[in-house]
Amino acid sequence: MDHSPAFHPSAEFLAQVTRNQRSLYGFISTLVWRPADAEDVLQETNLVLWRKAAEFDPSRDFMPWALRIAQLQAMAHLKKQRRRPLYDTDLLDRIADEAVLDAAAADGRRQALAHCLQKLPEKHRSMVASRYEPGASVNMMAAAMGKQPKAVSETLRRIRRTLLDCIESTLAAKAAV
Amino acid sequence: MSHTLDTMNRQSSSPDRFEELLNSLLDETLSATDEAELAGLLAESEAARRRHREWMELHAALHWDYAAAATPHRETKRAGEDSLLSLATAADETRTQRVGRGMMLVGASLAMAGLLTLAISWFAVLQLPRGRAGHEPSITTPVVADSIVVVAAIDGAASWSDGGQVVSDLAIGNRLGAGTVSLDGDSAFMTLRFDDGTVVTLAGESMLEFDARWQKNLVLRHGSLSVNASPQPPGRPMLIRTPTAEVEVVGTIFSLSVDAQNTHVGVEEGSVQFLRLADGQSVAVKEQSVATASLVATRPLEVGRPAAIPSFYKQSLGGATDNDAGLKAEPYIAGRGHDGMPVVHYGCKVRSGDVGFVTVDDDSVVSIRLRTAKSETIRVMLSMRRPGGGFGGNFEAKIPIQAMPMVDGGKRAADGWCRIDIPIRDFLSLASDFPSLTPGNAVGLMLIDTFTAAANLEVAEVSVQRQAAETDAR
Repeated sequence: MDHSPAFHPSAEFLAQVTRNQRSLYGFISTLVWRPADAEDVLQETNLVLWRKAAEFDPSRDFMPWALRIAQLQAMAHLKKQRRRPLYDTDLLDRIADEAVLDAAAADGRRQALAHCLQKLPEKHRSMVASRYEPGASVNMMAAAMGKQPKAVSETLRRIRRTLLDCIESTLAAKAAV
Repeated sequence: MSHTLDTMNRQSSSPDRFEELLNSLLDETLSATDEAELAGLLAESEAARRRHREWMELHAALHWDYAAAATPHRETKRAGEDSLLSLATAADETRTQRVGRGMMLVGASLAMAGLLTLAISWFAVLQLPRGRAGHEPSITTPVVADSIVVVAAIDGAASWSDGGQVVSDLAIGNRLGAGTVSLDGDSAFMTLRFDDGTVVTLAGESMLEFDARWQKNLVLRHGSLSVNASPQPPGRPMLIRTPTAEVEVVGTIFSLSVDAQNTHVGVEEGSVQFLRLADGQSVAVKEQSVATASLVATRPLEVGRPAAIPSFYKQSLGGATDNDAGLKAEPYIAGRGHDGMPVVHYGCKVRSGDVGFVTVDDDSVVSIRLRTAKSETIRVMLSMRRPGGGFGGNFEAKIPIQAMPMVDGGKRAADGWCRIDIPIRDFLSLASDFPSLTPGNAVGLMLIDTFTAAANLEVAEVSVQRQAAETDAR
């Protein structure tokens, strides 16, 4: 029988963690570019945040603190693969430092993306959906479409380029208002 | 590498080398040579790192919410019209349900009075002339343009926030956008209905984040959640994350109970894919089965049958002798007034297990040995769980102190202890979705409370048993 409440981090802390899942995932993805790896790092980050909840000072900004924890988790995750050029520690540190400074702008870009996705032609939206389904790959898409993987990847590049341009123009238009 | 980033035209539809490398990185077709080239470019230029960041963020956002691309296009103007239509519908629903509910509970308690005031305020808002489109939102009407759920049932203290505004006077019919809902107090519950008919019910102290803009993503931080999921679009399952697990849903009825260390899932119909975050182990939990994921992953994640729950329960909480104190009532948030201020009751809770601790039948009787310092109405609330742990509704019985049967030949004992016996049929529903107490369901929480601290409620013993068994025992 339980008559005493279980320990929980503060509601504000929980709200910060839940509210910023996408931002954390986006940040981690700049360091760990494979989605499955990025998800693993996010889960590890969440566990660390949960354990360190008592250490969080509510008078400080949550995100810089959380991003640093995410960075450490990403570094630990990549430790075994440091021989790869993209996992060079100095390079990752620079990427992470700049991503932390740019975190607020990243939120704006993410919000603009929702608008830009809706402007895509139906066939392009469908293609993006196929590419980003769990477990999907360009090779699988190519097999299903009867095309070469390179051709599929090139179409995806154009769609990504379109989305990035749209995000930029959306933010520029918003800033001009 | 002959390119410099200054010569790369970002707006051009023709790819530059750097963009080709980024795109290959995202599609995992980058060769070792290409990777070294990309790393070199990133190391030498902040502009390159910025572009890399933008591509990676895009990739992450699309991966996180991949179903966005398949979401039907909605024009902005049309969306606005939809929200206004939704508001009118919600308002009608609110009027009907709140007034009906108010009639049922009028005069019942301070908390209910607060809710009635809210209902009356809401009704008054509806009567204001608002022009062609119907009724515009008021400051107490948390209708948002990008709403994705409607509040289908609510009782107790609940709030919603999108990270900016916070609304603590939620009512049936309110439409809410993506955000976080919180329930305060063990007696609170709230049912949210998504546009596709999927229904989720939070019960007790709970916090749930939800977002269905692109696909249904829920994060249950703590508390209990029951889900009746409509079939989800192919390839776009509903995802529910907790601190220790992740559940993938394509259409089923199940429940989750979550605290900081454990996630318990119980499936009534269909099946869910249940992933333990601690080690990534995943199992399919089929109907009439349960599983628990914790932070410790030393044992395999196992799926089992729900434990049988007895129909007899008896628990002593003190008061064994005349001078022995029982379990003393403690303050808790029972609801919120129309001004958002908490309504405090004083109660003793009996709770055990994720799926309830005693089943009830038509002839079950709840017996409580208690005492108070003054005459008072005692409220006994049962929060019920369906087999597997799903929310089965809240039910209450109110016993005026004068109506209490006395011990010792009809007189109250000298030390004030007395016993009340409440037949299960005397418990009334607090939620229209659960009009009656279903035989075979289990009590997940028993709450015995008073409205004032001055009552100084103490509980010495609680029991639940079927009448036939009780007669035999005597």
